[in-house]
Amino acid sequence: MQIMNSSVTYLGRKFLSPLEYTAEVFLMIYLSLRAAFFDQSQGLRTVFSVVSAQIYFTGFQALPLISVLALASGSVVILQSSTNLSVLGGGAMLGNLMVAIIVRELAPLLTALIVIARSGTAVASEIGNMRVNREVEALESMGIHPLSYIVFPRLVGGVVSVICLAVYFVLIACLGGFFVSSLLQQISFSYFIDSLAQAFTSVDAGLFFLKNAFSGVIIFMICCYQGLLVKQSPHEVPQVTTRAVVNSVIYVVFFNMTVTILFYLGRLMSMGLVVF
Amino acid sequence: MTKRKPIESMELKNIHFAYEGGPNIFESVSLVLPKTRALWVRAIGGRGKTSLLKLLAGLLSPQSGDYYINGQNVLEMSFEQFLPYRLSLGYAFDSGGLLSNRSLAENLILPLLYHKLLHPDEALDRVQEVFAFFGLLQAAESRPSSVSGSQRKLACVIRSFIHWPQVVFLDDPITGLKDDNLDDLLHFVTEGFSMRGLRQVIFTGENPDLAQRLGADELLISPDWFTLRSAA
Repeated sequence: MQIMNSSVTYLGRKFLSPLEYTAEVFLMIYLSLRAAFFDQSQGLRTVFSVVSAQIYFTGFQALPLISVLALASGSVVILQSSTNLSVLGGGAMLGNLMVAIIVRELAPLLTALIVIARSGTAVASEIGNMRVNREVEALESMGIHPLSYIVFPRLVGGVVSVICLAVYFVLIACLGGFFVSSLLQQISFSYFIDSLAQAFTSVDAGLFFLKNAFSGVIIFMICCYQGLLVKQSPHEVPQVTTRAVVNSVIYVVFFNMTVTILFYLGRLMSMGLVVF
Repeated sequence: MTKRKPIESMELKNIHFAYEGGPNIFESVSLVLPKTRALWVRAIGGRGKTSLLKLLAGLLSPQSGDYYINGQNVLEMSFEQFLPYRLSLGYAFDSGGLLSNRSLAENLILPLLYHKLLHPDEALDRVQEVFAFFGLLQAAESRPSSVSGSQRKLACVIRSFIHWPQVVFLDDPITGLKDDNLDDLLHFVTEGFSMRGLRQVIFTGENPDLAQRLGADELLISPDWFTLRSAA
């Protein structure tokens, strides 16, 4: 009986701890938005300077890496699908494939993973070091709310960067897809664009925006939260950075998968194939 | 612009404080802060000098007890509600505390511009004037990591005075400072008392130099009592 009780307690803890963590991250989102809203002192100029720096580091500096990955993804998707679909006469489905695979799935996920690897780690370790160096306390002593000064601008800059990078990813992937398809099937640019335009709907735009915006929020909130968990020792910084990466990946993948599942479930329900 | 509130009285009541997983630093202690100009907080190492300063500056919250400023319990206040009092306080850390991605001048000008306490040109003038007074002008545009330890320490101490608060907490301000910096600091503090609205300096440290030269009263602390000893 005792073994059973301890097993139930163990399972309960295992189940509750991610919920508790999620609640704490949500609480920080609320507190940072509240702090930024109520902070009469923090002018737009201060916020803008940190936001623009964040967009430069997270967005602009990631462009080369995103370009390579997007070009490769777009090319590979078209290469694989053309080879397999041409047998079935499916060349006309190129646009649908690009939208379904690149716009809905790969662009949000790969962009988020790159942002986690490049900027999430940087944000977590920067804030962690600020804690060690008492910079967060110093801000507080000067009457500057750390959540409004440190977290809020990083959140805004991060979300804007993720959305812009994902749009850029889609554009470059389409370019890569076009090059490959023009080589394999002599497809004209206007035909390719027309195919994409017909496949791309407002639902795709909404899904794309939702996934990227929320991925941005998830990444930067988790990384800021982990950074702020550092208490006083420098050896905690690499630990929280690793945890920030792991948790961000888990939450982003889980979120993207959930949205995709709900999206396709909705489609199946609208076609009458699934009934609840 | 947030208006600062003058501080008339500060009182800790039945404070219980311990760091997470650590021993008790304070066990149900009370203190009415004397209105003396200079107060030297003393204790055996690790017995709560820094903690007391941080509690009084609103940087730490006790596990239980109350902290009254002008009769109002500030522990029940939000960050925004406490801000007018905070602008009347200054705090210098014993180490660190400067924003590492900003120059020394930017570190000092930040509170002045953030709270719009001065026009940007006036703020710049004040910072340059203070840097010139302490002989730090050459290091003004350098970041904390590229200046010497004594310059970092000095910049951190000066920053606590830059907005001319009423009460300044200095955590071990002398350690690491050069002798001539100490003379400048004393001159600066004296000028603050006579011309800039400074009312009280509360500091820690092992070296009695600053206490003697400021004629400071002593506050001896232990986990469950405070003892005040007059300079006279």
